[in-house]
Amino acid sequence: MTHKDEPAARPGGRRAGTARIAVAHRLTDGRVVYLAASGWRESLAEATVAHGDPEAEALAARAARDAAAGLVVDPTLVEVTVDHGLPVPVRLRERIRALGPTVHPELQRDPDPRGGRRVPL
Amino acid sequence: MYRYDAHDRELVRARVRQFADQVRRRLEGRLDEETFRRLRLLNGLYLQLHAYMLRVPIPYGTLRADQLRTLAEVAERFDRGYAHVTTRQNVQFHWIRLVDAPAVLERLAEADLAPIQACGNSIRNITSDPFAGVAPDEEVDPRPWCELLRQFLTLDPEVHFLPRKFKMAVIGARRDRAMIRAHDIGIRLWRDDGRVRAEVLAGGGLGRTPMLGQRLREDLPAEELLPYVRAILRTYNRFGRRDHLYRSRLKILVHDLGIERFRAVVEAEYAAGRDPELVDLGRRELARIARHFASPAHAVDAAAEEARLAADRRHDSAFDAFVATNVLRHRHPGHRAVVVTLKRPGAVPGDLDAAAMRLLADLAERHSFGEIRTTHEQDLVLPHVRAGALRALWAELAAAGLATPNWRRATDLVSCPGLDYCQLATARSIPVAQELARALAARGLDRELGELAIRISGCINACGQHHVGHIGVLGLEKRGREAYQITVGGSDAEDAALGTVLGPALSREEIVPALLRMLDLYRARRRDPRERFLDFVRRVGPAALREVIHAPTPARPARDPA
Repeated sequence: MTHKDEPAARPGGRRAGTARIAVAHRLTDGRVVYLAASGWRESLAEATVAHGDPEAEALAARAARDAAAGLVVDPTLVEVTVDHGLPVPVRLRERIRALGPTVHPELQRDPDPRGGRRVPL
Repeated sequence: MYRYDAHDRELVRARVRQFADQVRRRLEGRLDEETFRRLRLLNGLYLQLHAYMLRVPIPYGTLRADQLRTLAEVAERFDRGYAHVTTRQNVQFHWIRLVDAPAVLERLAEADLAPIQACGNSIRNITSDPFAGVAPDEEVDPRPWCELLRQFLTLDPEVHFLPRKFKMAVIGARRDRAMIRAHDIGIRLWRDDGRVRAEVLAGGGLGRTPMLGQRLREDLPAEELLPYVRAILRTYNRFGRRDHLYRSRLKILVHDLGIERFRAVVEAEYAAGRDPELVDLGRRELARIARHFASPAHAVDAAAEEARLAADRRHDSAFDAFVATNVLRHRHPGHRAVVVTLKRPGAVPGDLDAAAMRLLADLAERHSFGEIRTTHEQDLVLPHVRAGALRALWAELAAAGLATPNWRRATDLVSCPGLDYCQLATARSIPVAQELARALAARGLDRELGELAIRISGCINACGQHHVGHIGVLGLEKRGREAYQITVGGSDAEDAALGTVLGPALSREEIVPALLRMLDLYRARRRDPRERFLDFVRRVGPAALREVIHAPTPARPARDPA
């Protein structure tokens, strides 16, 4: 269930057989976070990539558990391509979500702070 | 300006305490998200694309200097140093942390600001003419009526679970500077032999299904507004669709019933439910509230002020250009209202950093009786400035980059946050606004194009009000890419009109060149420089522009990386 002013994120990651990651908002501050092996991380580069449906289902189940536990809000799976090991969301909406507002470069974040890989818009 | 009394303050404080408790229980895991979501939305806190966003209603766009300073403080302490003025005269913060939200609300409450009914299916901020109490053509000051309606409709359980959100606007002049026909209820107050009357419109709204409001009553005695508005709301509560999101707004009910039947139902409800005590209460409250809106003291030598202004204009051409576009006549001789457009070409429309907020608060105190207004065009107004002080004010604004002489010119374009911030958006709108404004400024076209309202929305929900722009741009997603549809011929004024779509959407690369070609065509074919773009479109028809819109762009890249 969602509110009319905050509809559910579009099910962009539901296509069978594609690579997917789990994204959500951290409850305490609303920041965009990605599900990694070590928990929810702000860095897109750390996101666990699910290849194929069984892995995606497991990722979704972990995300749903963490949402139920109050760690994150509105978890969704999003479709990605993997570029030199960096998951790059297919949809522009998710790429902007990973980077921050394109109109405020000073507020954008680095999706790969250690590796220096870029997410193209 | 209205100031909270002890009852108002206690009500808002109680609400803040209640919300702080709700946040605490959510963080402790004692409230689930679905339950909490409704509660935080009732307090103006959305979850947007990157973070929580807090919407702070500015009642009928009227703001005190100390309130603007408080907003600056919130921007610095709790956000990322800036705020955003919206197309409904509100202010938004895009980076509020949930853990800070109670402290933010507490700080806002200290300044008589409260995000109550900023969201949800309730009565939203009642908007008004930003030149209320100022404009020489005003018949009735709408602000006391807005405040009366605000108090009547705040936290009233009867209107707290409407079928959908509900927007109202009130004006008191023939010129419509608040877009009343694009609201669920639009009210124009006028005077008849000393008595205040109200023209009441219903069923307007933009969004997915844009419609202009239709007249319900032409000459309702204004003292009947409370029972009459309540009758409309009861009709909506009873017959509005709750089963279909896209058919739940009042405009759909008015459309489906037809204005005659809708009026008959409202009138029957009004006749049956009219409570004389409510009318008396409204009359007494209006008298109390109106005292807050007494015109500030304006004891000046008007002739000397005018002479000083005339001399200053002769002396400085840049100042003269600013006065020509951004300064309006005031009902009090020797005074002017000054529009500070938040639209320096290339800037994010409506964004304002904390330093600018503090400067404007200082300037308002020194030059405008401590008053600031927000406009639905995402600009600010200093409403009461002495004519002789304009040049000093302009110099300080110019030094801060806030004196762009472009009010209601092409570069004063309105844009919703779009896909850079918004969960609902399908395309970015701000970058289009920035690119277009830069291109227009580089060509020096602002002055030559004259009055031109460009409105850009990042999705069909139309927060950028593209339907009523002389030129409207609607951002869409087509096959995974941003695409933009152009409308022309809309108007948000007393000659309100919905724009006509000019064919299929264009790509991100095509949209700005297409708009520039269209404006070139207008410049080449207009009757004379006084013929506005809107009048030109009405004369030649939208079809004449379609061809130039869809001309091929030579520099179009082979592949759109977005």
